[in-house]
Amino acid sequence: MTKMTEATYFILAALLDAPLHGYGIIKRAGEQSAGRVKLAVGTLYGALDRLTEAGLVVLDREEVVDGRPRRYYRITDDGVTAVREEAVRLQQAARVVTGQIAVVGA
Amino acid sequence: MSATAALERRYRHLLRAYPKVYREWHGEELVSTLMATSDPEARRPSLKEAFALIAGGFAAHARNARAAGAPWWADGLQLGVLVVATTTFAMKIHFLYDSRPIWALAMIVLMVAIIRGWVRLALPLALVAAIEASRFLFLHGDAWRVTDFAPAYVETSSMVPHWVMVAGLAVLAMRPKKSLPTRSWAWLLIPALCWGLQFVYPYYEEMLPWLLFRAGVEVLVLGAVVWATVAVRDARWALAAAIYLIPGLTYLGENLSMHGRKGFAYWGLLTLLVVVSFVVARRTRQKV
Repeated sequence: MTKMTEATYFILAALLDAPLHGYGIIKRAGEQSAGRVKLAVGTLYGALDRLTEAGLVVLDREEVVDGRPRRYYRITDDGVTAVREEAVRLQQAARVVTGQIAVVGA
Repeated sequence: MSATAALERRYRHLLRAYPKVYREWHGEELVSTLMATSDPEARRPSLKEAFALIAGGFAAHARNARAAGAPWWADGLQLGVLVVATTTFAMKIHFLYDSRPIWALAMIVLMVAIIRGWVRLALPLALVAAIEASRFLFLHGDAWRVTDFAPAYVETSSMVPHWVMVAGLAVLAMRPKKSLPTRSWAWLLIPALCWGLQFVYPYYEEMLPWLLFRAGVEVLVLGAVVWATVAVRDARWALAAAIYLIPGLTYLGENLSMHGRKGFAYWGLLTLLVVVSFVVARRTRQKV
């Protein structure tokens, strides 16, 4: 099972809907984490390099906007599996606590 | 200069932390994303972003420095052997008061063989060198007159580097038909520099500025090994660093009574950095 940091988790989660470019990933990861994950650009591209090397993300397409390249990254099937496994793990971990709170609350 | 132009210029300065090949491929894309995420009024990058770019640049260098086509352990082992060879030849070959041209030439050839990944040439050379360097220990004084082209060491710590090279190269030789990566010729500059220093300051290796310089470099490099391990998430550089420490720790063990608190603290720090590198490699393994 692939282990991942919180930043990586939200980067993969951001790409689940559709391929995104760097700024799009930063924005979406911020929204989906309720502002908790504020990715620095240097951190994002380091994570994208690792994810690409691990085969969890691939380059989807490239556009040129205002004379600058804009690359879109897409999550692979392995990436979807990895982020889904991590989500299940987090859900199980959360259930340990929320279940006890529910019992105590009742 | 407008705020946007000033900010972009500063970002481009920070991007110099990345390898050139990385900048060619990702540079404009990074600038584009950096400008899109920045405050339009800002003239300077935030500290968080500046640090992330420097760290990202270092990580990209670390990833680029990995040998292509070799498993992490072979890469680390070869690098470790090369570091031991480089430092041993740089410090142990003396041209002024114990000149041995054949030995010096053989060691240069051995270093070139390790740099080029020619393990079949390097291994027998290293073995002959190790036997030569240890002949006083194995054959006592009788061997002095038989072969005399190499220094005959009496301290174990002077022989150990040669046997470390033999052991490392023997393991690498067990990978049949698997080529080893080639390393930069710049490695040869280290012994060349030290040999040049001998002519300026004959006993420089015992002078305090040199000792401080070497200690500083060692701590910095081993600190960088920890950081690089975080970037590549394997133990290649931890392994190389551990191999490098073997001769030094042997020297420490052989001369325990000569070392005071500072000496133990120094070697303890180096060992700690290597241990931390291994721990980091283990904790970050398969982590994206």
